[in-house]
Amino acid sequence: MKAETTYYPAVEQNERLGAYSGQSVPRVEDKRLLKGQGAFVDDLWMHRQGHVHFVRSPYAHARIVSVDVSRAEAQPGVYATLTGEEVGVLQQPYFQMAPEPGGLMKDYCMAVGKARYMGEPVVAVLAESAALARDAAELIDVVYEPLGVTLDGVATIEPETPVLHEEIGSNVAWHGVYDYGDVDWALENADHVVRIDRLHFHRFSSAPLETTGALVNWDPGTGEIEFRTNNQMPMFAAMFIGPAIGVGIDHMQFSSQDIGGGFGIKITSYTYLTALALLSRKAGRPVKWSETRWEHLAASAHGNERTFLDIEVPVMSDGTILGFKVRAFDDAGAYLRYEPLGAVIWSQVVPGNYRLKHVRVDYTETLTNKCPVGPNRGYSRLQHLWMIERIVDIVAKELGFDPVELRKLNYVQPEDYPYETPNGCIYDSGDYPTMLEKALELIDYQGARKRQRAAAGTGKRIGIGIGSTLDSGTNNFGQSRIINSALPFSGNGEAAIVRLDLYGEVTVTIGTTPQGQGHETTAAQVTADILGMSPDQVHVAAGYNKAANTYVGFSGTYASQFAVTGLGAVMGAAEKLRGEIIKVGACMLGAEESDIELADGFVRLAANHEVAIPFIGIAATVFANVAELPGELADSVTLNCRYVYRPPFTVPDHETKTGKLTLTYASQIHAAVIEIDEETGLVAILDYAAVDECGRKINPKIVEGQVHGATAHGIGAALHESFEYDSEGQLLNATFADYHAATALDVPDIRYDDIECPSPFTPNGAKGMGEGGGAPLSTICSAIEDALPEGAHIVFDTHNHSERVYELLRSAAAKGPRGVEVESR
Amino acid sequence: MSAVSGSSTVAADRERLWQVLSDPAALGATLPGVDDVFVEDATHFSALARPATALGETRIHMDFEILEERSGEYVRIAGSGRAGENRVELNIELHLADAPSGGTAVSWRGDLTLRGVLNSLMQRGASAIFNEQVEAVLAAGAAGGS
Amino acid sequence: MAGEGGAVHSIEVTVNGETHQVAVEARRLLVHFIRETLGMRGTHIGCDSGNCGACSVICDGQLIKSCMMLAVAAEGCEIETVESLGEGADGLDPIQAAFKEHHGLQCGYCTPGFLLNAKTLLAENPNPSEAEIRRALKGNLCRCTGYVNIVRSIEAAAEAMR
Repeated sequence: MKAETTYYPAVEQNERLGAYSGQSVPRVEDKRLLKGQGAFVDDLWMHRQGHVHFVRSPYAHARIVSVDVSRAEAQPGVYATLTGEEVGVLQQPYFQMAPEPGGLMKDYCMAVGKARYMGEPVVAVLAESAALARDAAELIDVVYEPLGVTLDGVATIEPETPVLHEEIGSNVAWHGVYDYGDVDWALENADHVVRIDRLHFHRFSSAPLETTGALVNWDPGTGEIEFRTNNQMPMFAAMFIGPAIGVGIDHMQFSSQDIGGGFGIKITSYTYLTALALLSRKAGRPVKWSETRWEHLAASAHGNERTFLDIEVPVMSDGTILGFKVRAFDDAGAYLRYEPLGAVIWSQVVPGNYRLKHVRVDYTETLTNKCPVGPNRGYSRLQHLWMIERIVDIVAKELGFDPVELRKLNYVQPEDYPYETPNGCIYDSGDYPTMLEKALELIDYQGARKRQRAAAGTGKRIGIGIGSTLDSGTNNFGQSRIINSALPFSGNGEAAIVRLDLYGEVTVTIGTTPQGQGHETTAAQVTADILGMSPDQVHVAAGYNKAANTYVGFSGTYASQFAVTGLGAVMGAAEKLRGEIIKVGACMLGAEESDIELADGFVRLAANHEVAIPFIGIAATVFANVAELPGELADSVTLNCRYVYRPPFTVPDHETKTGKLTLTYASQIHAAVIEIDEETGLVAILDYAAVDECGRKINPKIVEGQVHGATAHGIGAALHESFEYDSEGQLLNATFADYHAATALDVPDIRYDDIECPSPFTPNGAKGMGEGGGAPLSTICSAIEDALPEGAHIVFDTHNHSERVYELLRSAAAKGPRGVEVESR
Repeated sequence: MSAVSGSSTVAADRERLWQVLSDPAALGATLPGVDDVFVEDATHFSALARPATALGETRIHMDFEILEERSGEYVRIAGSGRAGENRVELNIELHLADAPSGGTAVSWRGDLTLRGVLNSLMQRGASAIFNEQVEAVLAAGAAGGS
Repeated sequence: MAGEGGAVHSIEVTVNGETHQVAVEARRLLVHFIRETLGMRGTHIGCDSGNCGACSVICDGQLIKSCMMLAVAAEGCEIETVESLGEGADGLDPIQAAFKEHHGLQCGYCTPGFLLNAKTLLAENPNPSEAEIRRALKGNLCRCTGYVNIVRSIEAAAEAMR
């Protein structure tokens, strides 16, 4: 390491974590969910509410010539409508994170003047019932003038292509070059250069089972807007909605209890929330909206689609990969929303799992007439990490290296940590070689190679694949300044309150919006350890509530950070409360604080457990009997302890595009054995293994469940799920009838193993995890390529349905270009 | 966009079949699932139809223009309209000829373009449902002509 | 046009042992009848094409998707929803208990459908193989668990119930 590298300060691990943290404590959430007593947003109801239906553009690109709502409004039971023309007046365009020209984009909650993707909301109708709202929608006459469409994320930048946003002048939303080390030197001096023409990461979505929904009431009396909604980053939403409609964030209330999956797709719903608020104000009623599945697939958010061109990889004769150079085009769809943050977030993992030193990425964010993207599970790192794994496998195959040995040679080694990457990120800990060994063992690698040889000539081809990935967690939002130096964001944080209620009840509230990650359970575990009790003596409030005052700008549940930020906040608050309880207890017991211990809900003398006060005694004194305490003590305790966990970030450097961008780096290494049917190209998974490392695990069963889920999403995307648009920008698979969400027959049993490399930078040694890192995408590409006949085209796409595999099988005999060239010196 | 094509032999004399087919208003009255046919002039008419689709019916309002016709033999029609929020466009040409064993041989060819979620839902069924509609029109024509 | 689908019929349906006599619009789906008319929120909606199974209920002993049935078609039927499982405020039946023990749920949105699916499967086949379980679960989507722990929960429930 360079002498001048500064890492994060090592954080003293909280020694009190142990009795429950680390145990697979059963989940508190389960009972209500198993009994069908969860409170999801469509379960909620407000007196006088109306139901909303959005009339949507059938065209991918069209001028809105006229809108006539008169027939709809004349219907009994129809309360109000809202058109784009009204929205253009009622709303300021949303704040844009992109610098100009991309930042000149005018983005509203509904189409204003022009629709730019199929499914974009054009008119909102509010009626007595959802069915009536849909009936009324049929009476709304919208005249469109179709315009030319642009659908290819690379070709869209060509002149003569229809431009989506005239204010920008082109379909380039952002462009930048990331240049680390000296890739030109590396290419000139390497023993081999491997050139890959094109790799493509396809468009898909985690598609949570519960769609977006909201119950919104703009109260005419108080001027406050109440949002009951399953948005998973509500304060980010508030920061966009507020300026758009001129309402202070203090006049907005957000809450949710149970959310049926989020995976990043429920972050950019602030546009719909804005429309609902405006409609509520216009109608003077609460408005309820539940998105249908087709609306969710066509018009909520898609994962980023990225094309990589002209990849050049310098490799030494011993297999050391020096780095790579690439032109990346990220297709953001019709509006930016959370973009162009993706243009920098990939750089949390510039070299992937490897010790690559020389990297140049020429990155362009483009616009097309498709659904806007959102930070789908693994946001922006998935794409980059997949490309790197493809590079590694292709280099191995082309230069004749064993893919296992090549990885082991190039991996960041266990002794390298903390490891500084080419752009100044710090990988905290890890052990990829051990994980790879475990993954190979789980699939019986040697046995699989035998099966592969034995399958020759049977009409089935067996392939073995490996996928290495990272799950970088706890973002430094200062990285946004790398794409726009004027953005007022940096650092990160989460807030929690741990308090005693009036009768000594231990209560926790957090600024997170869990969608199945078990926050109520894990927060209780760490609180219990710190306060010396059992988790079922700790009550964690279910869900999110802004009124609890436990939030900062980035509060929510996304980006693999809860174990660090959420639990970090809970731990900090619990420690504060612990200190106060001991202070009061010591006073009441006439002892020194050092004589005191907490156990089982009691404050007691360590030396004599009989001398004890239950928490109710502490609370009752402070809350209802405070004259009994000395004034100085009474002034210094509230038993209501709020703590904001702040990761130790500074602002990254905009000029050099370097900095510490994420605090923790969990990792996953997967291995798979697949079988391809030569006649059909269908891929069957014979064996699948996932090995995970996420620092110290607070609840191992919950962690394993997250690994399963992320693996299933990856397998689904790799083999079954892909958004298909036709040449007119019509989404062809807009329902689950045609968008093949992976079923129990598609996802195999997953063999699982894990190791723990505690993070030195977090208060509990844990690392955020949950997004996963998309290892199945690499693993299955790797396995397919391994199964292909000699001379076949490289596997170039993340999605390999039977038709594509069929073509790849036959590409060997076709003897055409293979997508890769090697120059050896 | 779905390409549609089909053929059918209709048990009716060609000239009489043509006569009935040339009177959209009368035809509309006999067609199942067609609520209303409004004839604007010799080359323009519109129709409100409710073809059966898997989950019930889909209400479609279409404006038609006759682009080309040769009496008794050939007609080319363009139609555009909406099914709720969806947009429908179709172009179709029909050929009529005397069938060797009596009656009229009708063949048709064209394309049907749906825009909106209906396109996704109907992508496999659209041409089949469209052909069913054409057959229904021909059957009504044959009934009217005899 | 509003209310055009509103031809109203009086139906009698038994849900979780309780018989209801209600007037419903002809076009009202069974799932909306359960959720909105009867106010029982445990049955969920996850799609609009009958693919996801979040709306699964048991109708006359058979697992059906309540979004694919009109309420009027449920006249005279006996419906069981997730609310019928387990006894009392705290009780979980063996299937629910197995899901809890084996972490067979995360967000819980698909869970009611899977519980009822498991119930009908185990009633028919008390000792299913993994393949048989996965085959039975084909019509229910889960986006959180990857199905691994759902299958393990059902295997455990089967063993507990034998």
